[in-house]
Amino acid sequence: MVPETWIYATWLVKAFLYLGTACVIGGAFCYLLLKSHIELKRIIIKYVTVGAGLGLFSSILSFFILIGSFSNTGFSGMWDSNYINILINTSTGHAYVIRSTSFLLLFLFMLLKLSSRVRITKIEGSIFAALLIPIVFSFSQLGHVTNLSLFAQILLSIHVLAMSLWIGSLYPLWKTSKIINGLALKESMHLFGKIAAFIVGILIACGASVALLLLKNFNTLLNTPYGHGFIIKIVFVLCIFLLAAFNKWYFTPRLQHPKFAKQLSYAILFEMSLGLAILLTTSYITTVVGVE
Amino acid sequence: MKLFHNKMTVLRNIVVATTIVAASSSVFAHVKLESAIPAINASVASQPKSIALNFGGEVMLMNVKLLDAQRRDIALNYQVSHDLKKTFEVAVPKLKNGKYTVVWTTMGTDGHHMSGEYNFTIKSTK
Repeated sequence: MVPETWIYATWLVKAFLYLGTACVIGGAFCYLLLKSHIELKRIIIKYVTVGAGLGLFSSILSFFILIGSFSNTGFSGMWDSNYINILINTSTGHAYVIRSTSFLLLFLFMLLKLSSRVRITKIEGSIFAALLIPIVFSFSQLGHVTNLSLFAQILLSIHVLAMSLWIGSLYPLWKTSKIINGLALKESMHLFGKIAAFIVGILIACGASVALLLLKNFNTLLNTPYGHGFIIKIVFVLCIFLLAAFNKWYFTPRLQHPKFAKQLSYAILFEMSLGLAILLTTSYITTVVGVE
Repeated sequence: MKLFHNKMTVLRNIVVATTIVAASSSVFAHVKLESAIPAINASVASQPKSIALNFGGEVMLMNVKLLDAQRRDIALNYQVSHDLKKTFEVAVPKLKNGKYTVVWTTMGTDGHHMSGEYNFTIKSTK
């Protein structure tokens, strides 16, 4: 098994991890946003459950892929007890364990809610939110900002939170556009648009600051695989911003007409595919390539 | 409502400004092998007793392999540990003349997997 295989496996699993996190956070946000629509609640709970399952699976798998990449003895190397013992006792190992445990608890909680069909209480909602904190913060403990200040780590966590909230909201919004219609749909989309404007502000700030960092060394942007990947990501991000703006200012005011509701659902589907492309590109440039 | 809107605008401005400051100071930390003994692509006449790997930053050396010209594994007595260091020294057995490849795998403090390889050659002194 060539070492590159581990790197590509890490890339894909990281994309799944981003996706799972987005489903959980975006789903939880939409549960609150669309709480008056009973017909959507069960769909959203299922969505969050799938997200938590995906997060749990990818979090555990990424740990064992890391073990396999270190032992470099094929698939069986993923269970190398020597490396497991070494890695589990490092801060990296702790971050993996805390993240996986949080996803496991979230997954069990959501399974319980799926089977009981009882509404989520405020205390349960608080426990859910508390479990999200270590998941979001873990991204700052397993990446480039690990060696920076706590302040920078908190900012990265906010970035992950905002991105997950937006990308993860797209599927519930797509379902909303299919199930709800008329004024109710218009009001829901209008409310999301108002909150999304705030989220977009944070995301643009993060993107612009990374661009500023790269402009200090313009060659990095133009002549390295990381730079090329970054440009592709920016193109996707600009596309999704344009589409979101179009949704907000063109479709949303016209949603009382069924024709526009249908067109909006197609636009959200396209937005979802762009979101997936952004997640894949981000995980690619942070695993397969990287700036030294 | 207006007060809420103003507070949200202030909050957004604070987040935007602080994010720019923090992200601008971030570094992309994929640590590379800076030098080695025997040196990278070097031809040496004497028999090396050990291999020294010098990295650009502190890492955990998770795996190191020595391969001969036919890329056959030569057993090394390296025990992986929690030590975060810039330089690692690994004893090597007696080697014949020929080309050798050192394959290394490290983990940075940020949990990143890094790997690479380099060659050196032992030439006869005749």
